Amino acid sequence: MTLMFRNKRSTIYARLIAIERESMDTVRMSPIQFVCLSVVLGAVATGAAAQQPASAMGTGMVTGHVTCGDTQRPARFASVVLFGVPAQVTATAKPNPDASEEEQLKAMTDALQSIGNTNMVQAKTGTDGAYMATDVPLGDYYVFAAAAGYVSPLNQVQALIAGGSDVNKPLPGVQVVHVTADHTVMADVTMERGAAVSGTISWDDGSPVTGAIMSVVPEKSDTTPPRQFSMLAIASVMSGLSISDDLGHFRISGLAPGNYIVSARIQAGGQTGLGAAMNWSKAMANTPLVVYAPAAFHKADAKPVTLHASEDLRDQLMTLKLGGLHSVSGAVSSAADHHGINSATVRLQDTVDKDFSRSAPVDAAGNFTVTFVPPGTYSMKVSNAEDTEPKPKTDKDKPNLFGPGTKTIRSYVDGKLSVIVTDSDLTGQNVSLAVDNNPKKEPDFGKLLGGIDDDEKPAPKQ
Amino acid sequence: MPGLVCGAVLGFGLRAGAQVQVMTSSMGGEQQLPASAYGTGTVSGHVVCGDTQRLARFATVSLVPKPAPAKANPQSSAAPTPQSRRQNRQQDSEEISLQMVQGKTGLDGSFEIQKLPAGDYYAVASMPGYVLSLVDSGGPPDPEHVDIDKVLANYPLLHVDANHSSSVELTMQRGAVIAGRVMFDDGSPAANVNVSVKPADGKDSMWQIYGAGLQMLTEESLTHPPRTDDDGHYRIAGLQPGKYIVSATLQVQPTMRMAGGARGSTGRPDHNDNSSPLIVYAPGVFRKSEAKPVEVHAGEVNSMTDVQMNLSGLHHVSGRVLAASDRHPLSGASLSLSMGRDFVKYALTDNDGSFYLDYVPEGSYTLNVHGFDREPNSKPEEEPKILRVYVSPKTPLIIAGQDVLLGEILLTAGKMSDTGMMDDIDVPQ
Repeated sequence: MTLMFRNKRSTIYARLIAIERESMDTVRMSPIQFVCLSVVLGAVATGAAAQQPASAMGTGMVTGHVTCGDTQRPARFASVVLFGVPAQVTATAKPNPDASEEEQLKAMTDALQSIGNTNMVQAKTGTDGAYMATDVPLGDYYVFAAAAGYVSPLNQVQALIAGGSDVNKPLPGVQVVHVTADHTVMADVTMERGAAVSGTISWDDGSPVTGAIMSVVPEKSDTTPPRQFSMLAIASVMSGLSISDDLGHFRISGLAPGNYIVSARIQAGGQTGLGAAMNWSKAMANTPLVVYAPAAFHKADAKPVTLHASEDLRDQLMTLKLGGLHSVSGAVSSAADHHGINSATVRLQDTVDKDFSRSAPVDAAGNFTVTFVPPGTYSMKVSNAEDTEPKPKTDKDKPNLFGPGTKTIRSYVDGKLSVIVTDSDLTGQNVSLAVDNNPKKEPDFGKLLGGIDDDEKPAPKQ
Repeated sequence: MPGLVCGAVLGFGLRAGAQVQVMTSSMGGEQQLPASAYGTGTVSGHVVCGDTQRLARFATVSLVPKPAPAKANPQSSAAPTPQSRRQNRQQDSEEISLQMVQGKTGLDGSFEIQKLPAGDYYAVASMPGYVLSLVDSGGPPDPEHVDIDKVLANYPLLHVDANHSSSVELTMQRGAVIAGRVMFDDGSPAANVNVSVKPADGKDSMWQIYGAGLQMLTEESLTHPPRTDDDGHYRIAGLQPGKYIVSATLQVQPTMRMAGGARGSTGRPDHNDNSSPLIVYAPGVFRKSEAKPVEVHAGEVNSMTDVQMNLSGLHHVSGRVLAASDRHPLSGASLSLSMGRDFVKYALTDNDGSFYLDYVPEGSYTLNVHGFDREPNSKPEEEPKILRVYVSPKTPLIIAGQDVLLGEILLTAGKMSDTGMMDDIDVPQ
């Protein structure tokens, strides 16, 4: 298998990265959860290669047909998702960016655990809409079907939860099959055509914004599904977002009826890349700019669109006006000898709109510039400050998509500053930090991600 | 402030596929602190959209160092070990270690890339919809030896001095566009299908010719895999003038499974888990040689390139692969169905040796089968050790009018050296 896919590896990486980005958007995960998903995706990608004996407990089979609800035609090449009914569902806590490292680590472990408990089989229909899922481990499964343009499984669950369904009881309207050993269960599914919203995103001078990641979020964002359902995102990636093309056009389809806010993410400045270009902590620190339709930086100022069942809402116009925004710059240094600290994240958190923040990494001399900051009052936090140096190269080092390693020489405590942005760029927002003598051990994202960068390595244990 | 850009230094060797080689260490000087890996030169300027004469917002600016002139290979009398070979390559200036620095323009189309080591750089501006004007360096595609000077001949060469600032004005040319719709034969749209355009002269994609390095010049390929939307529409922009072959790739049967908790894992791949995708060329053929190329002129928009997926005339080929000696099933054997280099389809056998190649167009093929006996008790997370290799002679196979049931295919044991054969197969991308 490894032999077989060697020349396709690059494509697989590109796809994985794309899937990760999309999933991240769809589920609105915190960076830490994002890393979890990456790791799991890695495990799935490599794990599938290993041939293991069938479970001693036996398996069953599920077959059926998928039909497009709008045309009543068989759905060609739709994905059927058999999703193990979770034994227990816990309410989702909103990702808290201010949580302590222990809390974030615990959230990460919990998320990994619930993902590890996910039982899921995905199969595809043929030209006649028929599917057959074999070797299905025993148990109860929700049967979902997914195809571009149809309401995605994740959206279905989200809509049910938003409608007040008790997630600890079987979800109403979603078929459940009971798979027993050496039996075949029939389950036919009809997919509901989703609503779509499409339009154009342009600059205030009328020229198109290209490459913006467009997505929609429900107006009430407390409908994030419990994490036990988070792996459904994999089956939902195809429709939840769109990247604006060379004319600024976008189209997002497969939405359940409801009120949505259209948003655009633009990577304004900063760095994208692989290999040595990829500095994981710096890449994570350089957050994209998020703009809400028709032209707002704060979600509260956005104008939601109402989508009815299978409505095709076209010609939505979105304008990006970045003219009134400012930059905040300064330096992060050691309180002891005033040298610039070469690794840290600076984050401006709006004190009124908790969802709005802008962040940037420091450069090698400790200087930072946070760009595109709207007027407002911010709490500026400097975190993960460390003096680092490149890890010495060894012969064992393999080319790594996620960049060369760094070694931490010393860590610093977090710093805070209050910042008010009015009508001009702010400079000189300097912060000196004391050495942290008891730094907490951080999860090594690079190492976690390293697991998916090399086919030669053994698959992570499941 | 004008386009804030702190160019980070991208370093990688230009090699095949995703073998991204990290080579920042060759940037000279002390390496104790990352700061010393950077230089002190600066390049600033503006990027203009050639079609509108407007300043380009958030365009990507890449600075690619001009390779140093070739030097004679230093003494290497001893037999080359992988390590010494790598060192040699690092010293040898023919080593294609591309150090690329990238930044973005700001709202006013300006950019400033700082901390550059002194030297000569090609400056490339890119943005979705605009042409990446690479020159084909001629000869066989060889990602190991890319003539950067030739490939980037269309771009200005800048000289950067330490502690000095150079400036450059870059103009991007609007590329041609090929757009259309991918449909099934029953008139329904083929949604979420990957669409690609490749030069009709047989030159493969930029990725294959120039490796991962130059691919980085355009982020579009990573962030924007062209796919049809829910209505089957696609649009591929930023093309150089020329003739292209458009293809749509349908992932036919990927099955994915996660088995968690105490329910036990089966982890066993379905017979179709590893089957190859179905590729259809515009206007609706399965063989590349029958594809109708689409010609676009500079900046032209061709939005009528539809692809018809006629799936009704396809057949499947099935059978079972056994060892001739004692008729034990060969699981994980690989099969390929090829028609010259024109059409290749492959699959792996199931645990009982059975296989199922689906969506095969009619025609005359060559069937190739390779089987393996693997060490039984190897750890699941390791690639199992191969004990024995089985091969079949190349068998002609004609598919016409109906599905093909091959029954049992018996393989005899062959030479161990035959294991690498799957690498030789030209998998259409």
